[in-house]
Amino acid sequence: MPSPPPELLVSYRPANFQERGLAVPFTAPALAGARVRLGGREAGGFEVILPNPSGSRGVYIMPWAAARDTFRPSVHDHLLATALGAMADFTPASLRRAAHAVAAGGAAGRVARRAAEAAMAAERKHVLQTHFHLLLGLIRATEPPGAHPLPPEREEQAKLERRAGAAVLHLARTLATTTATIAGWIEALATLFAPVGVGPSAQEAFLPRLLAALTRFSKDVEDRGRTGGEAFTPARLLARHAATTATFTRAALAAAAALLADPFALARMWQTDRAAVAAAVVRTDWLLDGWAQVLVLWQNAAGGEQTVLDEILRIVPHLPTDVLGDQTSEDETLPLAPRRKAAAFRPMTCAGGILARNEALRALSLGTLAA
Amino acid sequence: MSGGVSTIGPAEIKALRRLLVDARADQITRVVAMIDSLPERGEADDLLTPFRARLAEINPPRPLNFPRLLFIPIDPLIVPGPRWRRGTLGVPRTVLTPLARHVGRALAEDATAIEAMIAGRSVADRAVIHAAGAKLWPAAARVLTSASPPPDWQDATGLPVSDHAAIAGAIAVLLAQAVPIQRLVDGLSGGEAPDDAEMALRAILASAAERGSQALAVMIALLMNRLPSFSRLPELAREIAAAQDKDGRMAAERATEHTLESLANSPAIALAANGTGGLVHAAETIAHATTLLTGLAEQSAARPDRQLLIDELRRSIDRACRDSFSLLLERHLLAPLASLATVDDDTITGLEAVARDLRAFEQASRQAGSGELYDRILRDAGKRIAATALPRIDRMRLVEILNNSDTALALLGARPS
Repeated sequence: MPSPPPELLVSYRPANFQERGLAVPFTAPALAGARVRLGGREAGGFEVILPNPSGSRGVYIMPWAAARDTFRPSVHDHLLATALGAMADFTPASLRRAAHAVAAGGAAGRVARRAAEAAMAAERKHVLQTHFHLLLGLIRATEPPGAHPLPPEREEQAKLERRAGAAVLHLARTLATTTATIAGWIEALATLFAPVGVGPSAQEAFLPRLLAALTRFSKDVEDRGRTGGEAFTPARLLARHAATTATFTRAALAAAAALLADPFALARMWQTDRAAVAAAVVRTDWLLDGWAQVLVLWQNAAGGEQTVLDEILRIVPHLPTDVLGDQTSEDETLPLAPRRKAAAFRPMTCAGGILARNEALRALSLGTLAA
Repeated sequence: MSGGVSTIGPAEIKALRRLLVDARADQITRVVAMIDSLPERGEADDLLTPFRARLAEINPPRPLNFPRLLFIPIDPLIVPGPRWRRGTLGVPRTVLTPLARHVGRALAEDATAIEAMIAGRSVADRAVIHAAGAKLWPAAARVLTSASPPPDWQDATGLPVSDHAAIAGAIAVLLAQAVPIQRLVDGLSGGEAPDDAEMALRAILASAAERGSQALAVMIALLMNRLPSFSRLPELAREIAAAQDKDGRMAAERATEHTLESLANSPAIALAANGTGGLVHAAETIAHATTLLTGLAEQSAARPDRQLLIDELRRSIDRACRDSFSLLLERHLLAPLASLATVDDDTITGLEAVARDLRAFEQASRQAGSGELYDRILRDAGKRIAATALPRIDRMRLVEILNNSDTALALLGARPS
């Protein structure tokens, strides 16, 4: 039975990140800028949140089954939806991994496939680096001062392994658990903290790089707003919104990184309240979720900044009310995208061309992550 | 402005004309490049007149020069000199060189600066055209508005001096609005109309209407070509003209007649449908024509005679496209797929681009008719692609591009629940 037509929810102010949903890189033209969140009547189902295509305020919220019937998803989107249904948790990192895997399977084309493979390789490298630095931190925290002539980061491989083994044993005894459990925790924490970054190359991790790009975007857009004339007036408001998001993110990133300062405290917290550790890390990811698509659009505007600005205003991630607290609602600060008129205009652009553009942007977005 | 005289004499022109009769595409391209390089084209330019249809087909790279930049905005209205008739809305090609020379002289140092901006560029350099055009077109409009006929007008154009004012005046009206028109064209290139598009269009039409109904008719004819997606154009023009106590209805009628006549007489669609100018060119040309005809048909509901003409034009486009689509599909996609030796990234990406162009060709063509035929051809093509030895995901994507995602999933994988 066909799904009923989706209804427009004019006043939409998500209370929290879960309600805002995850930015999902669907490639079908009608699904561009979509978000997904848990919910819907089907078991394990999820809902799709689509910005009002007319550019006016509001969103459409519908179960995936209705979106599938109404908006003709691409093959890539079908496969990604299947992967979303199988995700253990609905977090930006989980969706990123699922989306990488689908793109690496070639569903968004060969260019996106290579970019996804590179992004996955970069992620594996960051997990390994984080794992290594977590061990170094643990060694430093367990060894008494002057116990070894060399600091762990300058130690030769075999000796370092012995020192790491001793540190893991010490932590296991302290927390009354096994070394295998501690090794498992370190592995899990390395995966969790890899996007945050740790050690001397922390700024190369995914979230610090995205935050740096968001900060640059904010400045760039503000400059454009100042010099671009009346047409770029919304740019200044957008720049302010990006700067606000960057400020929240910087604080969240610092809080997540601070957890790594004391490996014993972190391990104790992980032992007793794993969700609290995860929440501290995931908050940064949630804050930046959806900005990668915005940044790629802006970076590839190639002289068409005004058109891209309109596109960005449709998909720009709004901050939930539980983040903004007492600050001014974004409904009052963010401008609307100009409304689109269809009545007098017959589009000549082929849907296949828009799909190809979305796939190219997807590849660029993946390439940015892998860089 | 560049000066000097043609370095090609009557004997050479005669010899070249003989050569061009049966010339291959590469030979025509060489001759065009030679003529383009002349400081003064003079009679050599006439050489190209009988071959303009083939030029459209071959689409050789054309260097950007001052006259070409000047008249890019009015290109859809340019007609061969011998076909031009007094009182019609076209611009005879023979007037371009003397008018460009006149504008160049009048703009003096500004013209030199513009020439420096476009030196070494081709007509494909859109950013340069927009930047240099923004300087040239409004200035040229001012020159042409008040220009007297150049001394060589009659010799160069074969037209009496009395024709100069009407032709130069019409070009001036069009060039004065070239920048806003280009902005509208760019704004619509993404497939959606910005909110202020109609307001901009109203301003353009109002400015032409102020100069009289002939100027308005010429402007509508140009806009029909540049913005075929705006089906309400004649209606809008009538409204605007009425507000100025002008006869907008007649202007819109004349523009429509001119546009239909141009479509009927132009070999460009039939040539494009053959695919010899490339699949992208074919898809764009056909999409332009079918979109235009659909809009004109909507505006001609009360004119059965015009409806008949539009239907006939549609049928002729339909015939040209359906005859060639299967051949193009086979030649550009199915045959290369069948003999594919390697499946590296570039090969697959290239084949996907071809499939996308073919689909754009088909979507434009089906606006003229034969929708069921295209459905059948594409369905059969999808089955053939699904049966090849390509990796499954590549087959799925090619079927998706040529058909849709549902067909791809039905042929090659279960639809996810």
